[in-house]
Amino acid sequence: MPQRVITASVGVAGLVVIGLGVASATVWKADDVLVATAPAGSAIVTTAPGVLELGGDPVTVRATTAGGAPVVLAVGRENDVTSWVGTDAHDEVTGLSGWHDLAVDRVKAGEPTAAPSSDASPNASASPKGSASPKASASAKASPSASAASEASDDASTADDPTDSDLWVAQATGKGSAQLVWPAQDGRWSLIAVGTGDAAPVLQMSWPRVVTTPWLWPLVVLGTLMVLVAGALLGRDLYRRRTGTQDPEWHDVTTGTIALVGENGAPLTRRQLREAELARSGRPRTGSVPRVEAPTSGSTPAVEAAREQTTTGAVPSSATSSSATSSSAAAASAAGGVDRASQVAPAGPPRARDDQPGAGSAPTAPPASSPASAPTAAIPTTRRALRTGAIPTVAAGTPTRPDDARPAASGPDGWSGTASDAASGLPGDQQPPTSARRTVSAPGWLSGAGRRPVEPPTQTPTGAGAPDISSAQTAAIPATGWTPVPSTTPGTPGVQGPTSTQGPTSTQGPTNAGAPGAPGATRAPGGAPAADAGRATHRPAWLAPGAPTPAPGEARPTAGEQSTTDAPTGQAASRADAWRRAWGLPAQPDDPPADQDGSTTEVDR
Amino acid sequence: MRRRPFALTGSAVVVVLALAACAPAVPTPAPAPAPVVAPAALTPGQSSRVLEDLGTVLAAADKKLDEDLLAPRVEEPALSMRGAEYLRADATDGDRAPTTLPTTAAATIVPRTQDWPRTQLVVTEQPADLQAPRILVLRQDDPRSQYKLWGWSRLLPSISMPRTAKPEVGSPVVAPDSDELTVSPQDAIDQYADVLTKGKKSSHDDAFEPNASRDEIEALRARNEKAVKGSGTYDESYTPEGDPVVSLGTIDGGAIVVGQLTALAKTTLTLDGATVPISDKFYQALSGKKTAKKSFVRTSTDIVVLYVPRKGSDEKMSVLAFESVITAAKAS
Repeated sequence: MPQRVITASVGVAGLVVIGLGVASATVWKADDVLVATAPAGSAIVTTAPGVLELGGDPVTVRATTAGGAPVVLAVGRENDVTSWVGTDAHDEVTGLSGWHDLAVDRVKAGEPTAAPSSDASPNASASPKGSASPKASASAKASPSASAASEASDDASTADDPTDSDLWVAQATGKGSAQLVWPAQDGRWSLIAVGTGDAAPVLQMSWPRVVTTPWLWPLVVLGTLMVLVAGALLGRDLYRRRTGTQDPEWHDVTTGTIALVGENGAPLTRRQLREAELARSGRPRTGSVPRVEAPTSGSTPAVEAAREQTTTGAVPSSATSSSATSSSAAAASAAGGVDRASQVAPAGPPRARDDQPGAGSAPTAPPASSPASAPTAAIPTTRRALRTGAIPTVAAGTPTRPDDARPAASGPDGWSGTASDAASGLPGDQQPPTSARRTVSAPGWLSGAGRRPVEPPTQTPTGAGAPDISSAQTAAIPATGWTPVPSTTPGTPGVQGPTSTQGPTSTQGPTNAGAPGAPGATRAPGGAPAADAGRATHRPAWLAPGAPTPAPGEARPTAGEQSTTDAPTGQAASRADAWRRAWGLPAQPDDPPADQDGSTTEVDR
Repeated sequence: MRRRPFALTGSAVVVVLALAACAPAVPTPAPAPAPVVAPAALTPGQSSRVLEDLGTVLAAADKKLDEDLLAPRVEEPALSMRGAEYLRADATDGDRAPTTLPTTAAATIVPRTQDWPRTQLVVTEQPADLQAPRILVLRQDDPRSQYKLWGWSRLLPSISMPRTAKPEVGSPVVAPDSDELTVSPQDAIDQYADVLTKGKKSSHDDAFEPNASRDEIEALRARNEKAVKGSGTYDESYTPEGDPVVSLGTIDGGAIVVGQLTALAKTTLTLDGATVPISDKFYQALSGKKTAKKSFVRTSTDIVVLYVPRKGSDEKMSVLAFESVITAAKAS
């Protein structure tokens, strides 16, 4: 939600930015025309030089008088204007006091504004000073105040008519109003407006302005980008919702899983998964089952088988990994990595429970282990196995895994560790069971490989407490557990005998074993047929393997139980199945059930 | 939640202010620097407008031979001169029409000044009757006055106007007592008046180039003296009226000086019983008499336009234009 809110706010901000950009070019755009006015004051209004060209070119001057009194507008040289005005009271516009107001300097009558220049006829120098006259007038204001005051009263009196004076270069007259357009020219020009009637003119000057809108496009572009980004994010969000890929957390987990797997050959995993599926479809190959048996007989052989199956020769490890992968892959194939995890988790937990209980229920574990082993076996065998239905073989191969598993064990992936354990376990039956536990935990592998080793044991117990959850956590381990699978295998050996038996049958069986936990659930779903079962089984197998390392000790006891345990696990699996259904994924649970039920049967498949 | 609206408005205000800050400052006047040298008092446009207006006024007045109509654009002494011509035209039933005054400028000599009075000279096109071109003297006495025809003169034959500055630039105004000329404008007018009065006896006789108007004046004087000889005396005197109205510098450093002279031609009868018949209807109109028993005084208003070379020049002063109009006559 916060993301969505943020995204939405970004989008809104983008719209706002666009709005601001547009507004800057429209609402807030400076006027095309600068219009400033001076209030009516004296009958004579003049402008200082430069005022006419103040705001642009040309200037349009408009003078209006109340009551339609005649008014004259004229432009002349600055000196001519000031000379014409002479000592009369007048208003001088000196500039702008604001964007719409003209600054007016009120000059009282009798002040020497223009007088000096006109009077001092001989002084050529005096005339230029005309420009400075305004200042002089300012200073002079104080002294002649008396006379000025008296004359000031005459301000409103009618002024001489400057109309048609030879001094003007431009002129406009009118009654009530007059308008004059003055294109800028070189020199110092002044305007004079005279209300020749009783009314003083109101002066209005307007200039065209070159208005730029520098903010328009930058803001619009920026805003658009923001909106697009927000839109894209929202769109993606919605898309995810629909497709169900929405929950990022899941993704993360999945990725982690993959990564983990990757170490052992994650990429393979998917392929393996596919292959596994193919294998399932081609179950007939299950004929491999026989192989399984063979492997079962000896872990080593199994390994070999695994190797064989696994393309990799040296591979024990690889095989293991592959097997693990395969197993995982199987699970994966069943559902998205995530799903798998989830599935596995559930499956795992049950097992765990089983295991724990298994202590007592050893049987459960065993089955798990066995299946686990089987899956493990399958893992190494993975591709081939899967294809071949070697999974069972895997079980046999499980031993192989152990090798791999051990290394893995050292590694983050409980796998290797587990495997080692498993391997070690292999010898002892107990370990195998552990593996089973691991398997349980296996679901957890998704969570984290590192945990696996340690967790497995813990998990196992936990699993007992909170089957599902623990399993989930455990699951992380289980991932590691994969390796365990091998252990399982070992377990298998002990149990294996049986497992193997099952194994072969259950190549899937192992899967089933994983499934076992699920089985119950699976069954419940019932829907998920063999395929799912197979996957499920694989998973369990995984789990089993993952769990192995830590589990070993615990597992051992479980091992025996495992088989028994499976059933419960199966139930847990059922919940997991629910998830899958929700996802529209093939129900692994079914598989598990199948495993359980038909563990044998399906496995046989 | 209430805070949000405030926050929004607050941020909005900030944004608005920020944008407002982008607005340019109010422009301030940036006038061209004050000219070091005074500009021409009149633009060509203004000059032509003045002439046009003058032409209109003259045409209206000439049509009715009404001196009063001249007031808007004609002042003394031109007003008296024109008035006399109207009288003459009226007295002679139009046989002697007023002097033709073209108002189309062939050249304009504009003063470069910011003071008043301002005087410009306009050399007109040659009139339709192929008379000599006129020089019109237009003068503005003060800022609120118009340019008015102060006087006119007619260019003398075979003279060439000294080169003057373009009207857009304007010609410098030379003070009446300027010492930058061979003779100050004031003295130049005085000297020429002396020459006209005394003829070759004048000490300034050789200061001026001979000119057609002077020859004509002397010829007329000789004839009048001859006519009166035995029964009376004939005297002519020329007196400058005040300072020269205007002196405008030329490109070569000289000046064109315009002055007004008042000429008095006085016929005094010394022979008892002798009378001077006033046959001229114009004179009759002016004096109100048909005969003069003792004396007959004729007053002319003369406008003379001189060229005064710059100081150190070897050139003599010359008369560019001269016009004499009889404005009064008195018989007794």
